[in-house]
Amino acid sequence: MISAKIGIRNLARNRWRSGLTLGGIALSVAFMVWIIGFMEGWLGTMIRGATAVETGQVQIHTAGFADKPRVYRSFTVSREMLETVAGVDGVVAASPRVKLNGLVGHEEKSQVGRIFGVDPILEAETTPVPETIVEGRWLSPDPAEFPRPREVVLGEVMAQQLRVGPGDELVVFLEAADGSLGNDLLEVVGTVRTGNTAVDRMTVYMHLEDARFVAALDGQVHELAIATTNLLQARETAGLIAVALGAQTQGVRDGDGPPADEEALLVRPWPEILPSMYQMLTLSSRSYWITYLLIYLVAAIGLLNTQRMSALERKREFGVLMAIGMRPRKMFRMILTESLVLGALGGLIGTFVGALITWYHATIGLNLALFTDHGEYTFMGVAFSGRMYSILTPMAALQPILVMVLVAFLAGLWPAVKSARLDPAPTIAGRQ
Amino acid sequence: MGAIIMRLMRSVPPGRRILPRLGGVASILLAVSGAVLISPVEAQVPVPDVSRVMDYIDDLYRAQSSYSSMRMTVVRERGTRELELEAWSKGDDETLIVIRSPAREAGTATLRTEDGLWNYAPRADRLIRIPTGLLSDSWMGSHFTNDDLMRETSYLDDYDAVLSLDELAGVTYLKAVLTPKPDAPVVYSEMIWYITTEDWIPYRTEYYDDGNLIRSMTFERIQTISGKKIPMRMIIVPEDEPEERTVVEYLELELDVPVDDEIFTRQGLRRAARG
Repeated sequence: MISAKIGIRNLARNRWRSGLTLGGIALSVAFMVWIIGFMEGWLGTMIRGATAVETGQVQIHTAGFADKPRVYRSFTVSREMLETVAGVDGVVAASPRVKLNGLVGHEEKSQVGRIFGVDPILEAETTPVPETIVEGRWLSPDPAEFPRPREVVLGEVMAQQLRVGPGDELVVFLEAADGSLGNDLLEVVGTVRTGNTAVDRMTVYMHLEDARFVAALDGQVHELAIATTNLLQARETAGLIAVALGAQTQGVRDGDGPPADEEALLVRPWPEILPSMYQMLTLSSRSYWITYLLIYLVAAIGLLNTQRMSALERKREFGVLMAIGMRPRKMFRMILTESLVLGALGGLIGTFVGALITWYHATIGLNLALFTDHGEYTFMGVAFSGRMYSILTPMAALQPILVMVLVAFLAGLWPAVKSARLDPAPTIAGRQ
Repeated sequence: MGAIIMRLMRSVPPGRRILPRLGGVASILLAVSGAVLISPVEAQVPVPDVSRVMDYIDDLYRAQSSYSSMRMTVVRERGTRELELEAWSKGDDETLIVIRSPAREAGTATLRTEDGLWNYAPRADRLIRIPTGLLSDSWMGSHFTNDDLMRETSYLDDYDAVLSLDELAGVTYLKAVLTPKPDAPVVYSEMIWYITTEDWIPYRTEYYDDGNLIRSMTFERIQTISGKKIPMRMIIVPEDEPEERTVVEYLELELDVPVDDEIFTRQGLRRAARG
C-alpha cells in the first residue's frame, strides 16, 4: 500500500508530464469506446438492413428450394405450424411467402421482378416494409375481388423504371408450378423505399392468395420468414424452431452425410442465408482490434517514455531508498503502480468522455450521408439513409479501459525492472 | 422458334437474297477446298456449291405469308406439357402465335411486329413487352428462346458457311459449318447444319457457344407442301438437360395463303386470341 501512495505522490511531482500522458491515455480510451459503440451500431444497422427488410433473421424452406429455388419446391404451412413457430422463445413473428420470378410491366416497358406473395398482416408483423410506403398504401388485409385487378406494392426504383405509380395497371407473366404460364392484371396500390436495394429495385408484393392463384400453388408457400428478438442469437433461435417443428438445420449439400430429402423442411439463420454478408460482418467486427493495436501502441510508447524518464530522473533518490533498505521487489512494485495508476486514471477519464460522446451519438445519431456526395450512403445493398445510431454496450464501455490497464502494466514493466535492479552505491555516487 | 419455324414466320419476299455473301475469289477457294475434302469413299457425292445449298434451305420455308397449326410438346424433368398453337405470318416481321390448349393457357399469345415482341396475357387482356434483355430466355416455357422468334434476319445474314461432307450414324450428309461474320450480333459462336445430300433437307442443326454444344435440333417427318419437301417435326434438345426436349409438329401448314394485316394489331390479336 505504501508503494501505491508513494507512486501517486510521485506522479503528482511532475504534474505537466503526468497530465499529458494521462491525457493521451484518456484520449485513446475515449476513442476506442466510441469506435466500439460505432461498430456495434453499424453492424446492427447492417444486419437489420440486410435481414429485417427482406429475409427476416430465420427462414424455413424445403431443402430443395434452399439449394435451388424453383417454383414447384413449395410446402404447406398449417395454422398449427405458424402457431408453433410463433410460440418459440425469441420469435417475434413469422410471415409465410410465395416467391416467384416473372415478367412485370405493360405494353411499353417491362422487367423481370421478384414477386413476393405475402399475408399483408403477418408480413407487417415480421418486416418493416409496410412502414416504408412512400406513395399510396400497403396491401389491404383481403385480396381484391375478381374482376378487380390484383393489388401490388412495388419497390420505388422498380416503379420508377416501369413509370407507374399508385392507380396504374401492370401485367404479370410467369411460369407457374405446373409448368404452365400464369398471367394476370395487377394494380399498383403503393410503392416502398426500404433501403434494401434488391427490394427497392425488383420486388413486387402481392397477396399470398393472389400469388398462389397466378402460380398454381394452391395452399402452398416457398418460405416462412421469421423475425427474432435478438439478431445475434438467430442461430440458437433457428435451432429451437427446428426442434419444435421436427425440421432439420442441414441443407441438401451440407455436411458429409447422405443428401437430405429435398422435401424436408430446413430452418436456417441469417448467417447461412446471407453468408457473404455474415463473413463481411464478422471481419468488420474483428477489425477494431487493429485500431486497438495502433491507438494503444502510441499510448503505450508515451507511457513507457514517461515512466522511463521519471525513473531516470529519480535514479539517485532510488539509490538512497535502496541504500536505506528498500527491497528491489518493493521498488519494482512502486514504479509499476505508477504506470497502472496512470493507465487506470486515464482510462476512467477516457471511458467517461468516450461514453458521453457515444451516448450522444446513440441518442441523436450520426449522419453518414455527410461522407457521400449524393445524400445516401449505401453499402452491400443496405442504404443508410438518415442517421445511424451508435450503441453504448457494457462491452464498449469496459473493454477499452481493461485493455488499457493491461497495456499500462506491460509498458510499466521495463522501467520497473530497470529501477529494481539498481546498484545503490554507484547510483548514489552518480557513477551509473 | 427454331431456325426453320422462325424463318417460316419471318417469310421473306421472294427474290431477296439472304445468303452468305461470298466474294468470287472466296467462292472459288471454297469450291477447291470442298473438292479436296471429298474422300475416295464419298467421291460419288460431290460437294455442291455452298450458296446453292444455303439458298435452297433458306427458300424451303420461305413464303409471303403462312398459316399453321402446331402441337408443341415440352418434356421437362418434372413432367410433360402439350400445347396446341396456331400461327400466322406475313412479310418480314409480322408473326402471331396463339396458344389454343390447354384451357389454362388458351389465348396466351406472342406478337411480333417490326416494333418489337409482346406477350398477350389473356386474363389481363393486356400486352406486355418482352424486353431485349430477355431474348435468350425461354419462350412460353419451352426450349425455344425469345431470340428464336425475334431474330430479324436469317442466320445466313450473320454467318459465313463452309460446306463439306460428313457422316452421321452411318449416313453421309452435307455439313455446313456456320461461323459468325465480324461484328455480327449473334448468340452462337458456331452452328453446324447437317443436310441430306439428295434433297437438301435439313436433318440436324447444332448450336455452339465457345466451342460447347448448347442445343441441337433434329428434323423429321418430311412432307411435300406447296411442292417443297419440308420436315414437319422438329425436336430441340438442350445439351445440359439431355432428358428434356421440346417437340414441335405441324398439324397444318399452308404457305402463301391470304393473311389479314389486321391480325397483327392489338384488336386483331385480341380477336384471334379469343377465337
